[in-house]
Amino acid sequence: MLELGVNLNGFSAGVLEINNNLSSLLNSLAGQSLIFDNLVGLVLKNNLVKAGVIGACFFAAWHERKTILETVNTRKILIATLLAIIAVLAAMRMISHSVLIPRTFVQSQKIYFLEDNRLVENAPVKYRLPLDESSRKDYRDLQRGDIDTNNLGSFPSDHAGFFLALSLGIWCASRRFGIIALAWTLGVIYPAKLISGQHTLLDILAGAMVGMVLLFVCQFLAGGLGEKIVNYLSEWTLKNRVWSSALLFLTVFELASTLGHIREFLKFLAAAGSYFLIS
Amino acid sequence: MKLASIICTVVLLSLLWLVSSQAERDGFVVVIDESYRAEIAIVNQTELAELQFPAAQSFENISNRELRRAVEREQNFPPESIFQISENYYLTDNRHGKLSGFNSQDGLKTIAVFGGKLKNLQSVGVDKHGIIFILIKSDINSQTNYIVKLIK
Repeated sequence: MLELGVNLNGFSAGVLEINNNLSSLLNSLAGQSLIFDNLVGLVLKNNLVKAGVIGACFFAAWHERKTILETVNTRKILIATLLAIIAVLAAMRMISHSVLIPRTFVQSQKIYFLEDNRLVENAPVKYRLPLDESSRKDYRDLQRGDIDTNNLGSFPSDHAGFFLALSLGIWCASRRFGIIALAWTLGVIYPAKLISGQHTLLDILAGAMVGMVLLFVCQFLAGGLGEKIVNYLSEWTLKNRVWSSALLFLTVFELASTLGHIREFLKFLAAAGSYFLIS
Repeated sequence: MKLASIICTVVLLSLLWLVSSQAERDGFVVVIDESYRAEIAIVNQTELAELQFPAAQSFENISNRELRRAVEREQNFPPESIFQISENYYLTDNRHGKLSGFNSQDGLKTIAVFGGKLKNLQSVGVDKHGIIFILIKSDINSQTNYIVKLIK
């Protein structure tokens, strides 16, 4: 039994080492060309480039010309997809809070982890700093000791789960727009995350799995327990085209900013709530 | 779709097991000034009382103008405790888990950043050999304290 435990531990350590080596290999593409690094940085930081394409695919799938019955079914899938991505973000937050794995550029520093009440020095991880201004600023901040809490939990990648769930949901609703969204996610967003060293392969893979599982669960619920609600919402959008278009604009706007504004809005509500509670 | 969701769940659980088996971590210390190495000691309340940990001063009592200016220039840096030994000052920032050092030659510099169970910095002291001692409470109700030593 003890031998099995030791073997499993050795196996997991081996897999993590392979993951680190492959991720370092991909990160070695960074820091060589200013134009290439700025392009990668643009994909990561610019919402229009990062999520605009996928938001546009969502919009196109929503309005694709079909029969009324087909349109209702398409919209049911897209509404279930929206519920799935909210669940994905919540799940990612829970997991990343319980697994302390900082981003690669933080792990490239001299870092000790508290394990079983002992401080264990982490073997420094190889990291090539991209040449774009945003990455360099993050690195300068780290050198000054300013570490954003977002950089302390890199496992799993929330963007990987968010964009895969969204693209796959679009693909379930409309093959042609779904293919574009999936190609953008797998061919542009994922490589940018890996090359910049923001995430390792395991972070991306775990994020993608969370996204897929929760999308399947939400689609399953939308066809079962929640069918009445999703049907009602879907039919409501056909009967109230003006209001539903306005809501769709807000939804796609938020999707393109990876729900960043909603998070700020929720923080404001929490602050306002605590203010009124105190007063 | 059912088969795909089962496969994804199995893969996800495997990944979670894989990572959590190698990352059972409660806290961390990022040593920004790499000339230091970190060590830890765990003490209970009785042991702590016997240790005579140096009492840190409050920042308001510090008359060093250069230091005051340097701290005021920093955005969002509220030091809670400060310890002086000759020309060197050591400051703790409980909110951000930061230990900083100051002298008139190098200015204000972060020495280390603490996180997780090690974020709650209580006090700082330095002995005659230059070893920095940082007293940390893992949480308010806990009877266990950590003392992290930063040794050159």
